[in-house]
Amino acid sequence: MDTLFDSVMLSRLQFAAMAMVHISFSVLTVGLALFIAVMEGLWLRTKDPVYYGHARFWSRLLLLNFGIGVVTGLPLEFAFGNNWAPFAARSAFFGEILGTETLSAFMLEAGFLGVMIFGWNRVPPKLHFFSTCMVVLGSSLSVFWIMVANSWMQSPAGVVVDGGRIILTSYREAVFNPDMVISTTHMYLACLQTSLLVVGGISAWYVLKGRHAAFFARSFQAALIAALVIAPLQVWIGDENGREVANLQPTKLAAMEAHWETNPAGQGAAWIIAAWPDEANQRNAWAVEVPYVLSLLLTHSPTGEVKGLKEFPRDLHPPILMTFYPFRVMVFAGFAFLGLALWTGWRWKKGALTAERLAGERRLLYAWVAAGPLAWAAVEGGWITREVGRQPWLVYGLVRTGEAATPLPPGAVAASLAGYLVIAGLLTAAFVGLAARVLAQGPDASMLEPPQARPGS
Amino acid sequence: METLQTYLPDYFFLALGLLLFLYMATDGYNLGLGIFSLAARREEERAFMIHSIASTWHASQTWLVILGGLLFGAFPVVYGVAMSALYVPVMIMLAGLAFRGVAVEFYDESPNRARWGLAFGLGSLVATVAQGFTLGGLLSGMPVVNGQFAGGWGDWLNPFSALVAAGGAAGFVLLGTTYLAMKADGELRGRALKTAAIAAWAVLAGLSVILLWMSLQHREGRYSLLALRQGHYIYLTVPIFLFEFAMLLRSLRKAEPDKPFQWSVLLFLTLVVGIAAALYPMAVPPGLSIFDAAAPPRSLWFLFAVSAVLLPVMLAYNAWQYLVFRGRAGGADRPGH
Repeated sequence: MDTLFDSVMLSRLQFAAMAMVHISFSVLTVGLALFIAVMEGLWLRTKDPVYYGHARFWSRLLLLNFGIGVVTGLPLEFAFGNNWAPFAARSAFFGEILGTETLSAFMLEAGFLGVMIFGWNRVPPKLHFFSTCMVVLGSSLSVFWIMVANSWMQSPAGVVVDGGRIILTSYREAVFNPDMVISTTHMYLACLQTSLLVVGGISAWYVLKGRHAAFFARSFQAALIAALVIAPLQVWIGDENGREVANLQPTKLAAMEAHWETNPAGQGAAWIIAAWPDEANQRNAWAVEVPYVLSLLLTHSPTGEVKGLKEFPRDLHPPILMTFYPFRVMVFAGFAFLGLALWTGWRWKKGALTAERLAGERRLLYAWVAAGPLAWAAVEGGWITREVGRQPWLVYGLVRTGEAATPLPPGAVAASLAGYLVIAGLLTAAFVGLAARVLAQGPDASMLEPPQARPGS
Repeated sequence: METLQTYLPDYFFLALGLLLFLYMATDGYNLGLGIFSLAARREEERAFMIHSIASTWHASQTWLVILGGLLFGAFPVVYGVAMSALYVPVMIMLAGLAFRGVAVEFYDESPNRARWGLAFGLGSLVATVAQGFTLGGLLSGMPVVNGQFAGGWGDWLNPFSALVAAGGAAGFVLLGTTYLAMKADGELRGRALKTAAIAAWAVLAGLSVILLWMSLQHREGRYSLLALRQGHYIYLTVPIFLFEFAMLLRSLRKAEPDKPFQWSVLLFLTLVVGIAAALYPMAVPPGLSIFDAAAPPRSLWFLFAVSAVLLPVMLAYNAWQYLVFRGRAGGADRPGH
């Protein structure tokens, strides 16, 4: 449907680049803000200055992350008008949900972030804690609204199409569309999981280096407790989400699994570990398979029917390779995190994670350090699967991507895409460099002394 | 309800005007300060300027995000038409804002502060000029056919929008320097006030040339804002503007602490009101009205309910955040420094 480098393809690439860059910062904002709020709450409750120190130390990273998150989010909002004007003009619902997101979520984050980061000596502790909670609420609400908008594009409910325009018939159905609850949960857990792996990985690194080992043993333990809950929960929710996709978007599911032929009655569909999909001949050139598992996963019966891609017209097939492999990256990462959580939980039970003994668990700590970057691979892999797998639709079953793009001159889009990649690359590299510098400096004395209680607190 | 419904587009026209004003007034001083920081004489001066906005620039920029979100929701056709017609200046603006924004956060953490200080200044300058071309491009009129932009992709680049960009840059510098005058002491404050006076005269000169150019266009029968149904309302704002300008000069001469900034903000309010009065009921001049461009009534009701509740709340907590950081700027609030 696309020739490479027409303006539709370029607009798609540009949106994909903007989304992939933005998401890598925003997932961390959501979870890190929540982690800081928990630390601050524990400090207010226990008066233990270690918690205060954590709230201050991680805030410094949050600020670096927040700034680049904000400026990479802005182009995404404008892209709907810039590159997808026909979509913006034709679709009811999507625009007002984005509008609602800006009104309810973004200002809440931005309006309280100043006090959260710079207001420690300016407002009483309880009011400061309130501000931190508002930043958490704002960033969490932004996950909710953006997932409402995106899930509606995956399973558009509550609308009818009338003469090319999408007319809304029910807000309740559109907001609570079939994909919304499960995918919002999946995404929110992904934010928390990425953040706990970052906190845990960085803490493990400090313990390995023997710097502030007791201080960071505390945050490592907090990350572990969160991981023990979230890692299994995410695997379960991910599985639920997969079955939802099979239900709502069978073409995406078949592409995710490179599953060409519907399994005949009485035979199970195999789960493919790795394959080389051959789109021209509608088959896999080779595949490593586990029999019955795909049927088991999706239907909970070893011979349940799973529709293959060949059931659908070829112009409705999403790109297979870019759906199949990113999905596998995400799944393998998810199970790796589960394994890491269980391993760490077992060492905890053996009493090996106390502040004194933790430094001896070197292999475990190195695994945590390695898991941090893998968290981003999982998030990006999941989003590529979700968005590429939706093709050729922009709004599944209603609006095709090709008809929703602004007929811009390809040169202008190519130039802006190139410009975006250069700038995003530069800023991300600078972020990584400065974050590494902040980590190398570590917490300093000013962060470890809580402010004196003020009148009115 | 039926009667009320016919007024919903007017409500959103007003709300968007308010958001445009809030964005210009708040991020205007951040961006203007950024431009002024290019003339800083020592790195400490630049550090002082950046610190003075570090706690509130997120909120300022977020008014632009909300402006975009509400425009998308209430007038989706306008959003599509304007954003695609203004593709180039909007992209350049986003690039400028990106450098400005991260520079504020990265400045204190970097071993090479001067580099990020420069990114702060240049990013602000680029974003300001691009915003001028964006607004100027919109106001210079766009042909719309069947809800799609039907003009050329370079239409935004014209003498009128260039004048708006120049005038806008002077206006933002005025806001930035008068803001700095509230936060700084001594020699830096003196220099800020002196620059503010120059910027004020530049704004006046720019607006006079723009008005002159528009009347000439109008006389020759070509489109300008004055050709719109309510275009002549622009003239009504002139005496108000001149009064505020005189009061601004007076407060600058007396080197008052907060007044110059307040008068500058009022100047911008008058400008936005003037533009809005001339434009009404057009969303994209010359021919796309807010009634033609509005989202379906259900969508408008939904967004009306959300925004009528949340806009006052937002204004309240933003005001509180400004109150927390009011007065002279200090470096004691920085984490880890």
